[in-house]
Amino acid sequence: MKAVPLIVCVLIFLSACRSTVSTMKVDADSIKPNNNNMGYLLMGVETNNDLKHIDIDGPSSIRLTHADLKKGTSYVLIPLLAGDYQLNNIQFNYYFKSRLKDQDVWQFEIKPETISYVGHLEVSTKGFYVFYSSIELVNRSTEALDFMLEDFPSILESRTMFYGGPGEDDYFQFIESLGE
Amino acid sequence: MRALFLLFFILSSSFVAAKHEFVSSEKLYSNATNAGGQLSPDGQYFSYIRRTNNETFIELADLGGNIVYQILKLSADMPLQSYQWVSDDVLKISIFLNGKLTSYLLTIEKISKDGITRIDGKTKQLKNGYIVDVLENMPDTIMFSKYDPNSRQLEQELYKITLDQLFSDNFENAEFIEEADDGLMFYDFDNATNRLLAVFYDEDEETILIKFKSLGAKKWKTALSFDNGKFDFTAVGFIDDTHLAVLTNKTSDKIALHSFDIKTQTLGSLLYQHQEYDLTDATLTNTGEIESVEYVKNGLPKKIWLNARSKELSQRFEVTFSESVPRIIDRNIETGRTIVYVAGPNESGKYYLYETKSDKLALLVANYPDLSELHYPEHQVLTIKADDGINIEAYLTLPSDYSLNTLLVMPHGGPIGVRDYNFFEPNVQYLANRGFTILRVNFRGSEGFGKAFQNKGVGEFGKQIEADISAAVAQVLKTNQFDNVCAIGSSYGAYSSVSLALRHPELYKCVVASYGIYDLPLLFNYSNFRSGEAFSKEVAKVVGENSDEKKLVSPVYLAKSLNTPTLIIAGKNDEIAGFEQSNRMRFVLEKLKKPVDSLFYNTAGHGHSNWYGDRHEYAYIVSFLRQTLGLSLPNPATLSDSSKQALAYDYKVLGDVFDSGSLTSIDNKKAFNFYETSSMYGSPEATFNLATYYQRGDQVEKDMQKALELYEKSAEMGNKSAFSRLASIYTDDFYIKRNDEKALKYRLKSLEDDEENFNVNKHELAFFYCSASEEYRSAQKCEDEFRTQWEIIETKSDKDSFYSKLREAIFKGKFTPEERESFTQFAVKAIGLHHAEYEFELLEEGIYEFEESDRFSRSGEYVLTTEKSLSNAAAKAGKNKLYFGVRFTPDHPGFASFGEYTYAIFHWEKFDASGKLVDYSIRGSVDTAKGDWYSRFVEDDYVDGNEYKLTIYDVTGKVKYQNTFK
Repeated sequence: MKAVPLIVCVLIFLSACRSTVSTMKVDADSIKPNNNNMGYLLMGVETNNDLKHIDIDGPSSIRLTHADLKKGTSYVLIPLLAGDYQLNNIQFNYYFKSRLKDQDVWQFEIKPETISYVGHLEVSTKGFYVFYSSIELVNRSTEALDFMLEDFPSILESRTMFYGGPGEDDYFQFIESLGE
Repeated sequence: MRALFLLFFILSSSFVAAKHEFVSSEKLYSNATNAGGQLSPDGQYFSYIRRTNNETFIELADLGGNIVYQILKLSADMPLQSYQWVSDDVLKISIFLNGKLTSYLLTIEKISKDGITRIDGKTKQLKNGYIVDVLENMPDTIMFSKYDPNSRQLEQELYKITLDQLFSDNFENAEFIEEADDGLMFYDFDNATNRLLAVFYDEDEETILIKFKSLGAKKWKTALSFDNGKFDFTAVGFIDDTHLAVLTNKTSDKIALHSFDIKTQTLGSLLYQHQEYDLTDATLTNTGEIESVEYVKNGLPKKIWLNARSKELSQRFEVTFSESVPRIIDRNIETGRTIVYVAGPNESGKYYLYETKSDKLALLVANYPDLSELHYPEHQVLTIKADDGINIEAYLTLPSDYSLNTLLVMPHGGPIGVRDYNFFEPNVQYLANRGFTILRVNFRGSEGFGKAFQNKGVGEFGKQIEADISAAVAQVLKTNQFDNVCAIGSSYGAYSSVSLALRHPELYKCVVASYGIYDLPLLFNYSNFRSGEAFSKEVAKVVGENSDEKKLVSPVYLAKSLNTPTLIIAGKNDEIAGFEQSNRMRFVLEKLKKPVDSLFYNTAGHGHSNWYGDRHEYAYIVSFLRQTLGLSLPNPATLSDSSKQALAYDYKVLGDVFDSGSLTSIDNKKAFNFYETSSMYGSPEATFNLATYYQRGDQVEKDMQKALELYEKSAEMGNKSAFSRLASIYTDDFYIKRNDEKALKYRLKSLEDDEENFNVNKHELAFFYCSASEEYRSAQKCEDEFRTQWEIIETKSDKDSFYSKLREAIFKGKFTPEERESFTQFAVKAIGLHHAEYEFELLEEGIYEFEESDRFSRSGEYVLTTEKSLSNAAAKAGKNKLYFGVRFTPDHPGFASFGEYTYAIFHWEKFDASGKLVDYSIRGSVDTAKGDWYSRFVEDDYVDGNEYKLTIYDVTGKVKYQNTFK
């Protein structure tokens, strides 16, 4: 009998840790100047069906919700504590999910004071009773850069872009070196 | 004098036109009309696949007479994968049905009655098993492996079964051979040695084994079991009981024919080797002697017959078809009939029948009969000495009689283990036909020239590979003069093309780079699954080890030095090169303000999956080359009709794709320009589409007079839709003042000419009679035409057209009260209504916002705001997308049933700030009184000052609501 309240407490604690976040809609830098603990997460999401939510763990544990995970290609731009993160769980719908925890291929980095693009999460699902999914985090840096130029030019003006996804890529630094 | 001048002019024109024929890309980029030729086992029939636009047939040519029988017809949604003769009168057909390969047996029976011979037959789906072999020595009997579809391991039972037994599923009376051993994946049978062959999977060792045994023997012997991942190894056949003949380069530089000891699993003696080329094939006789070997020389397969009889016949064919490669594909000894397939650099493929008795050769069918008028280019094979002394093979294709003095250097993809051949190739033929010279080079790394040659290319991206190509270009330029040199390539060829321009900026005037790679480090970091140690190891086998040095040969990082005009083509679904590669190159060049054009296909991968995409891509390439190099277009007056049609088609395809966005993003500017060119060459459809641009004022000043002229011109050219469009324009006051005389004239003309759209034109005519001026108006004709059409329309498009015009007639028609009453009665019946009139009860009107649902998979909703002004709403929202409209309910005494319907017509009119009507829409809604009715306008691009008027009518034409949103 004593175990029940303890489990409830743990659950409440765990759920309280994860905050639900929404992508930015206005091109205004929300990270204070000289705050070297924070950076922006930029992730593309391309999915052939609406997704229910995606959980990400790291210095902050967050949940991206269905409002930002609609069928098609969209972007998630969120200010976050800098550090190493892990895509943890993709909830496709009410019934199916994919646990990505403990797989190092789903790790990425948010570098302080930058816009850290971590890749495009490409999700393809089909079936209902027999459910198939394929997920890959693909480096589509130029599309991400075009998106920032088009939708968030002010933030881009004041911050550099950094590739924090799988593998190594200093393309953004090269672009920056070209100047205007 | 005048007569003489005219005569001279005509002769001059026809001389120029006769000189060169531009081939239509529609003919060049298409599936072969005839393909898959085979000889029936008894030698009586030549069978082949024939394709039309919508259907595929298997046809039998009776070689004893001159009759062709059609034995199978398949629609476009049932693609034929393959067919084979099982016996003298049975074929096995494999078809993709709903994405699944399905096999059938098809019998053929020749029936003669009343002097008419026809072929009859029946089909049987092959379920739960597969044909192992058509037993050569047992007519009408096959070896069949039957399996239980419900067993997890697919337990197989092997039978010899007659075709009659198979058709009736009578396995009880068939000859049972054996039950398959564990791990056996599939059987094969070698008629020559009477041996069973099988592929096994060893789960413990995780290896695949090829085993054999004599028919009737119990124990399988392993033929091949070792890992052959590091070299080529292909088994050809049994030399004797203990030896195989194999093609391998395990112990030699070139792939050669060796014996292979089955017991010791080691290579034995060298049986045949070519000094310069890898062997690509070999055949053995029934007694295990070498019958033939094959390799690729000068880009074409070369077969060496070591058997005397075949050698003599084959040498005669080689003399007859000296410009091509003749291959014996089927032979029947009893009838003395041999089928020969001939293909080559300028030969797209033909089947011939050789009869031993008469010693005569006759053409059966050509793969592409429509290409007979093609003026073929000249092909030269070159041998080039590379910087380090190795020999490189190259192919130079020169245009036949229309040259633009432009050399296109075309490196192949890969670059390791891939090569160029010198066969008939649509891209090369198209470019040569449009006046270009093409150079293709089998640089180091290419397949077919030995292991050492292939390995020399590894890691030579932007280095020795391009040096080889440059050596070939230098040799060509020694003996040929060109006004322009450009580089063009796909995949690795794209990388190589840009690299060539970077190495030799003084030589290359342009680059066309398709589906390419431009950032070599990115190849090692494509995604989370395509990065890391193991993946990098595989990439390094081709590219070399990843290091910062790779940037020194990556065009993305060298773009500052690239001043050559470049066209970058890519597919957004490219899983091989990755779209990011091309997008990076485009972005960097644009950022550096370099001369770059890009063509990104939304639907393509590492190339197109349909011919239409290829036609568009190559037409665009030629257009880019002409524009970049300042090459003028051929004067239509100097061209034959077919040449004009070919060029008109090229530019129409370009226009259509950019106009519709079917393959790329919409680009109306490009579409307009391409339609102009296509129209110049006489395309009726492009002329029509061009008119729509003038009608809309898109890319040009709105000019209805010009639009009408172009519609007229399109109609004269034979476009049947043009009369209908003219009639519609004159029926409406929207574009020009209504002109009933012209409207009727064009509508009747359209009805006369355009059979395909007859019903649609009838709906338009009905509306015309309702809405015309008094001189032409006839409510009776209007109602009669609608009524007649209502009784016969069936298709969805016809129904849409009918109700659309009926809707317009309801509120735009001019009726006396009696006529209105009659028309309303008809409309109520045609639409299926229970109530014509109702009280309009307004629930709300105004400007809305769309709010997403908080819950997953629930749609959002429109919420009425308190804002009254569109201008303020746009300013507050900070965007030009607005929603506004009305919600209401139709109320009628005693009208509350769910099953009782009424009708509303929503007529939206959009006015610009000057008060000019710029757009309108008319929609109808049939529903019950229960629930809410609404009409919302979704404005994607609101401009300050615009006004939107909504009028709602009932089926009697009475206005129920009117409001202007502003």
